[in-house]
This record gives sequence, C-alpha cells and structure tokens, in this order.
Amino acid sequence: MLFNSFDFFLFLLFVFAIFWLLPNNKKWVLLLISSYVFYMYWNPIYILLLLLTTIIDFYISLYLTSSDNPKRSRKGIVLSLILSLAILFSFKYIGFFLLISQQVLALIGIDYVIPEMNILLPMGISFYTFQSISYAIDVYRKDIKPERNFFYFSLYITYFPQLVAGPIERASQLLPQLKKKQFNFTSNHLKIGIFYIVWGLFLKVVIADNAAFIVDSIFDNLEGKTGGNLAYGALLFTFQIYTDFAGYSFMAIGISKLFDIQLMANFNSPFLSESVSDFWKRWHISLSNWVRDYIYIPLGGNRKGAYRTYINLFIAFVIIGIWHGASYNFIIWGFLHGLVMVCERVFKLNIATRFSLIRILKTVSTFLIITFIFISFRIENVHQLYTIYGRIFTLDWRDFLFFLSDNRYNFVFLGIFILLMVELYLKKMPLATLTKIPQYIFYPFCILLFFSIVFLGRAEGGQFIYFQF
Amino acid sequence: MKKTLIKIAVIFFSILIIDRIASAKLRDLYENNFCKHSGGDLNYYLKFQNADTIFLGSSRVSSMINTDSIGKNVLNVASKGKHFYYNSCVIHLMEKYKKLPRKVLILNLEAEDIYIENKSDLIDNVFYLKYYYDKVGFIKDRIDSKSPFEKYKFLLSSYKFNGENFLLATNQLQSICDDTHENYTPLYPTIYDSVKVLKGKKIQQKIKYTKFNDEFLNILQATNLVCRKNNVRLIIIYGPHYYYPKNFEHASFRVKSFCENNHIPYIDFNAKEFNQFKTIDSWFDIVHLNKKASLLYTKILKEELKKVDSLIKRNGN
Repeated sequence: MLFNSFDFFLFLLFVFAIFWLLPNNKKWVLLLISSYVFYMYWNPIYILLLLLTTIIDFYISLYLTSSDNPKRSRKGIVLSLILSLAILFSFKYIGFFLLISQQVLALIGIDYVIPEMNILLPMGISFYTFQSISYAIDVYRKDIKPERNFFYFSLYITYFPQLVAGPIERASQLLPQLKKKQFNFTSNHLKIGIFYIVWGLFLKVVIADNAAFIVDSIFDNLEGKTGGNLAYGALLFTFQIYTDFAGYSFMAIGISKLFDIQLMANFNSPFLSESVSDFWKRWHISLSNWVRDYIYIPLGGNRKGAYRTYINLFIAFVIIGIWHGASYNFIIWGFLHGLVMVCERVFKLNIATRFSLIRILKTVSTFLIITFIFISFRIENVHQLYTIYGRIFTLDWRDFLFFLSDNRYNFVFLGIFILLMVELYLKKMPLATLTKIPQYIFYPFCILLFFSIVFLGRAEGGQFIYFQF
Repeated sequence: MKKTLIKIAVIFFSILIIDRIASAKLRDLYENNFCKHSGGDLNYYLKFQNADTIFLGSSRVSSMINTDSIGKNVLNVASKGKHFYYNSCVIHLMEKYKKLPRKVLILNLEAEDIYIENKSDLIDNVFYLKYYYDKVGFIKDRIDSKSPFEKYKFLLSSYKFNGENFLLATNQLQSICDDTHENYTPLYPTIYDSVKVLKGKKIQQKIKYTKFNDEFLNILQATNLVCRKNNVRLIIIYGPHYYYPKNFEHASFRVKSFCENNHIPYIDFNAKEFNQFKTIDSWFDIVHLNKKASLLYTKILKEELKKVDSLIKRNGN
C-alpha cells in the first residue's frame, strides 16, 4: 500500500477511527494487526520473511540476556547478525554478488554465464533489517532490556508508518511509546499530524512526481542530451529524491502523530547545509546515526588518529552506499561522499563560520557537490556516469537557460521555492511551534497544499524511490 | 470538542466551495484548450473537425502514417503514448459527441495492448480522459476498474482536472502552446538512431509477456459494436516492428482469429510479406520509423487499404 494511494488514505482513516474508539490497552493490538495488513497488501507471502526476522532477533535477544557469560552473548549476537544479514543478502545482494563473480571469472578467462535470478526485493527489507539489528546490538550492549512480549516486539519491527522506508527507529525510543498505558488525543496532535501528512504528500505528488517526469525524460535516454540538459536533470533529480524521501518521512511522522506516537525527524533542511559533513547530520538522519553508532564508532571513529579516521569514514560511507542498493553506482555514490568528507577534514572546510557571505557560498557549493554526487544515484551503469560527467564539464549554459524560459519547468521551480521557504521556517522553528501559528494562516495554508495536490499532483504517480531499498 | 468539530466543518465547507469554484473555472480552461497538450488535440477534433476516415493509435500512428497522402478527409487522431484502452474510450467518446468518422476507422494495435502484464498501464492511460468520467459510461467503467475506491475520488469535482493543470495553466500563458493540428509528425533521422534502436532492442528482449488479457477481446468487441451501430467500417492494423519477439506471433494470431470471426479486416505489417522495414536505417528508435521509412510505410498501407476496399466491394460485405 503506497502512502500516496487513495487506498492507503481509506485504510488510515479506518485505523485512526478504530484506534481512538478502542480502550488504551487494546490500541497496540490494532496497530499490530494494521501493520501486518499494510505489509500483506503489497505481497502476502513476504510477511513470512518479516516474521522470520522478527522471530530471529526476538529469541536471540532473549538468549543474549539469559546468562552473564560474555562468550555466549558474543556467539548469540554474531548468530543474530549472520542470520539477519543472510536474509538481506539472499534477497537484495545475491544478484550483484553473482554478477561480480561472473566478471571476476571472466578476468581469469573463465567465460561462465550465471543465470539471471529474478528475485522480488521485499519492500522495506533494508529498513526493517537494520532496525532489528540495532535492537539486538542494543540488547547485547545492555543499552536496553530485551522485550519479553513477542507481540510488542513484533509491533516495533512492523509498525506500519515507518516499516517500508523508515525512519529506522531505535527500540529505546519507539518500544516504550508503543507499549504505553495512556494514549492522548489532542487537537494539537491532530493539527501537527495533518500538516505533516499534507506537506509530505505535497512534496511527493506535486514536486517529486512532476520532477520525475522531467528527470526521466532526460536520463532515460542520454543520446542527444547536452551538458546543459544533464545539469538541469541532475539539479531536478536532487530535489526529486529529497522531496520523494522526505515526503514519505514527513508523512510517517504525521501519521504516527495521529496515534500519539513521536517518530524521529529523518531530515532537517539538508539543502541548507554548509558542508557535506553537515549535510549528513541533516539527510536520512536515522541511517547516518545508525552507521555512526554501529559501524563508525565501533571501528574506532576519530579516536585512533587521522588516517584511521579517514579509513573509517570511507568504510562507513561505502556501507551507506551499499545499503541503498546492490550495484556499482551506489558504491560510487557512497565512495564519493566519503572522499568529500575526508577532503573536508583534511582542508578543515567543515568548520563553522559567522560570516554570512561565506556561509551562503558554502551552502551553495555544498548543494552543488551533493547534486553532482547524486547523479551516480540516478544512473544505471558506470559508463553512463562517465558520459554525464563528461558532458556536464562541457556545459553549454544556453541549454540550461532554455529550460528556465519554459513555463512548464518554472512550475516545478515554484514548488521548489515553496519547499525552501517552509524548510527555512522549519529550520528556525521547532515542530511544536506549528501549533502556535495563527489559525487564519495555518488552515488556509493546509487547504492551499491540499488543492495543490488535487490540481497539480500526479494521481497516478509512482512509488516512493526508497521503497526499493 | 465542539470547537474542533466547528473547525472541521469550516474546513470541509471551505474545501467544498473552493472545489466547485475551481472546477467551474478549470472546465472553461479545459474545453477551450486546443493546444496539442492536455487533451487539446482531441478537443479540437471534437469541436471543429469531421472526417471520412480516421486513424487512431499511439505515436506509432502519428509519426509513421502520413494521412494527407492517403486521401481526402482522412485524419490522424492518434496521440503519443496512448494505447488501446485509451483509443477504445476515444471511440466511445466520439460516438457520444457524434464525431465518429463517416466511413472508416483504422485502429492500430500493439502487442503490448494484448498482454495482462500491461493491463494496469493501459487503464492508467484512460485517466487522461477522466474529464469525461461522468459523461461516457465506457470511460467510467474503465476508470472504476482500476480499484474499488476510484469512484470516490470523483466526489471532488476538480479531481477530473488532476494532472492537466500545469499544462492548462501554461497553455493560458501561451508560451508553449502548439495549436497546429497536423496529421503527421515525422521523426527526422539523427546520428544517434542506431544506438537507440540497439539499446531499445536489448530492453525489449528482457520483457517477457506471458498471459493474454481476456478483457482485451471484450473491449475490442465493444469497439466493433460501436462502429457497426454507426455504420463505420473498423479496420485493425498492426504496425511494423524492427524487433519482433516470437511470442508476439501468438498475440497476433489471436487478434487475427477474432477479426476473422467478426469480419474485421486485419493487416499485420510484421507478417513475412512485409520485410521492407527490417534494416536498422529505417528506424528512429526501436518502435518508430524515421521519416523516409514512414513515407514508404504509408505508401504500402495505402495499397493494402485499397486491397481491403476492393475485397469488401467484391464480397459485398
């Protein structure tokens, strides 16, 4: 069930109404059932996989705490990691692994064609696997106590607003909220919830889906495309991927708010970042925190000298790249981010400054670097990347200006302008201040967003990009 | 609680009022839009044009058949990216507006129209006609078949204009309005064509069609009945392909059988006797002939239509 589908809204309306009619101690049951229904609506058989991941980490986590023997605990956590990652590998990475094997065999002169495997990638597998792993590690580290009720734990893994595209929530934050004895319905929750849902949907169906229409027409066929065309496509793609993913995350937060559950913010105005390091504190925050806490810091973080820090950064970002998908372009994407992060550290470019002009220049240059790197996210093979970068470096600005003179494209820019204005507002004002906006501004703005969705949104728009991760 | 209910009621009525006002304004914009985009071509035909013969299909008709050279009063009403479900809806729409051609309707089919794997895309195509949702029952049925909840979206009057408004608005600004209604938009060869064709072939080789869409024949039959009822001769053609997968033959065979059983003339330009388009230099990309080849195709098509005509006259059918 897609968040941008009408089916989902009817489903949400139904769950919301029943949720607040049920007594407090039964609400979690409804959320659990709804979450399973939500997932099975996509593909019923894959619920077994989700269930398997849940069972593995639930029982292994109980095993981890059943004795004080550290060796036994270590064995348990290794087993948990192997099993969880094996499931992820089997469904997400096996095809890529076979492709690499084939290429290596070809290098040593063995021409063996491995048959193509058409495995359907389970929706949200990377998200729920990482969430499940974080739980097991937290239990192993004794940061949290293991959950003893299988159904509560099951709800933590499958909670539908964030199941398929995050945020990747920590058990310490989400589990207590799912188990709480008293859920409070307030008009402020409703107000914030509705705003976030409408805002997220606006980002997805008005900006992302309309931008996708143009971006696809540029990148799906590179023949005859000039550097100007491709630079324009890259620029729009950066906004497309942000509005697509952030749109989903905002909706997830808004939906949860309707159930009096607070999810973590996954984005914090990333295009206003002043360095790439800053960007990663604002972009897909739940994933970057996950990699920081469970990979970068255990590797030594920045505690073991400069060179080791650089290596650790590279490892962390290549893993972030691989997490996104099983192909070379995502590895390149991660590698390039790692490279820029290392450069920023070496040349001390990530140090904050108070001079406004320098800050603006840093923000613009960071945005351009991010846009440039994001091209590797969009392409289908490495060869395309050479072609695109090659043409962009011979950019003819007249091509670029041609796009800006076309009103069709300017409407997308109008959407992006609204986006940046709201981003600036949200950057300065925390979430709670939304409720303090005068009603005569807040409600007309929501109605305006609603009609923008009806008039300008693509009702038959595609699924969220991050659903495939 | 009372305050919240009042707020909800105010928001609800505001939405209702804005919806009605906006849809009235958008209706004007839509009906007076004769630019190529966002249904303008179809509007133009429904309001201003009449023909003895019309061609319907996708860009493989608009860019590959020069109707001017086929005869007088022959129009090409095909639209880019519009396939069988859409075109059958257009035929029902033409019937409703009494704009069916006086003599012959030539419908170009594609193999993609025939397989269940593409059914969802074919239904999505019909959504370009959602303005006519409550005007033409056949269109309503196709849209409603998308999901049981589809009809509820139309409770909001302005939903009928969803997806069109960028273009409707920009057409008003007249910066990109292309109001030429040419019958034929040829594709001129470029140096990239052979690369595009080979790339397209690779993509097509990966596509696996497996299951016949049974609804296809029902819709074809409904289209045939509309033509019969209005004394319009329906002719079905299947344009040439550079790459022609084996299993397409099966689809072509089923369509051919249907046409024979219903006395509908059927011309398959992928049959062995039409081998003029097998060289790569005839193609602009994997599915479109370039200008030179399209003129040859038009010439062959004209001859074939003449043969059909004389056959019909001879048989008195």
